Amino acid sequence: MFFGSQRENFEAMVHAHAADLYRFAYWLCRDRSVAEDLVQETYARAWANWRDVRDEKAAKGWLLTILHHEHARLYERKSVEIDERELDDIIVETDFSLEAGVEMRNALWSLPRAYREALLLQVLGGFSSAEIATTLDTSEANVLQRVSRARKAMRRLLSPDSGRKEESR
Amino acid sequence: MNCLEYRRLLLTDPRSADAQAVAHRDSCPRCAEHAKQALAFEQALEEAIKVPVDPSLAQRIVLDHKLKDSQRGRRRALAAGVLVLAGAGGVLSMRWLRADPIAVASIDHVIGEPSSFAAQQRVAAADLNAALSLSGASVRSGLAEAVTYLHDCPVPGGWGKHIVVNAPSGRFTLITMPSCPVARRATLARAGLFTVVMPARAGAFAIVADSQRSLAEAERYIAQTVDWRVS
Repeated sequence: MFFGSQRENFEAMVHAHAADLYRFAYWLCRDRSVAEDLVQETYARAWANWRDVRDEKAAKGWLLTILHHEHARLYERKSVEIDERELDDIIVETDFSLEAGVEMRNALWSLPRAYREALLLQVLGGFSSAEIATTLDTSEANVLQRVSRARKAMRRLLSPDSGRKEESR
Repeated sequence: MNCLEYRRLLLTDPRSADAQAVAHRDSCPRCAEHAKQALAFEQALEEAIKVPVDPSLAQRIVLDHKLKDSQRGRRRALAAGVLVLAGAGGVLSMRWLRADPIAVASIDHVIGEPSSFAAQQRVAAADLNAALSLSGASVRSGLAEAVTYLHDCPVPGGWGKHIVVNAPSGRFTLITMPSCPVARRATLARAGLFTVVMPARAGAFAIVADSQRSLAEAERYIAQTVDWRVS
């Protein structure tokens, strides 16, 4: 009976959070099939440790942390470290003939991964800076810096008076 | 809170409901304008992040999880069975060992989609034939008129067809799994439903009915109306 209840709770968590996990995964890799695989693997690992879950309200954060680690594990050998790039050097590859959302998506994707992850966890996950710090295994101050710089960079890139115009002069 | 602190907050947490921040915004028109722009940006960002998600993703994860869990259960049961056989001289119920995971998934799929029974879809013979051709099968006659539901569904191995048939002998479900080959026929009774899983030329198919008798009649009906071309 207890097992049945665990399974029901687990399945409820799948239905509640799969979409947000997928979106987080998608913005980590921008590949739909890899994102689905990451979500599948996240839930497989979560189920293996489901008996340890005591606070189901915190399950979303826990699941996102697993996914973050899975993504890091998947790409640890082939990922190119881009976090050291200067935000000022970012170039957004934008197709101006497409809808406005495309520019926003391209700007988001152009952010260094560490900044993008923090911003996604705040906007998509609705987490506090302290919770994001736990997920990303960093300090709260660092999270605040990342989300702040991410927004600044995106707004600069998307503004009509952005550096793109200045560069063309 | 001063203007600089407030604008920093707009960058770190634009949706903050901090009382001091709200008070500053309400008293400073320029910061109020900044807040308006920040929230517009935030809304656009939220929209951009929300890429479309396959509506069946969660259901597929649950099905995949059940399938793997069932396979793990079989392995555990097998291991336990070997121990019991060794210790007790071979007295063992083989019921657990026969819990075929495809059969489990087929019954769970039907349980998970009760709306399929309420549908009164009209299905063209050509559409049904196209659906079954993915399994290497073809419709012989009469089946399309009896189908009340035909839908693409996540099934073991990938995607298949979920078909509800309202036959003269009663209603049953036919599930095709073109990417899930099975070696032999398997049957299962579970949660008040009965299923038989059989090999098709491409993958497998399952018939699910609400009684053993209905299942036998459904199996006869499908054998009469569909050519599975399995040698």
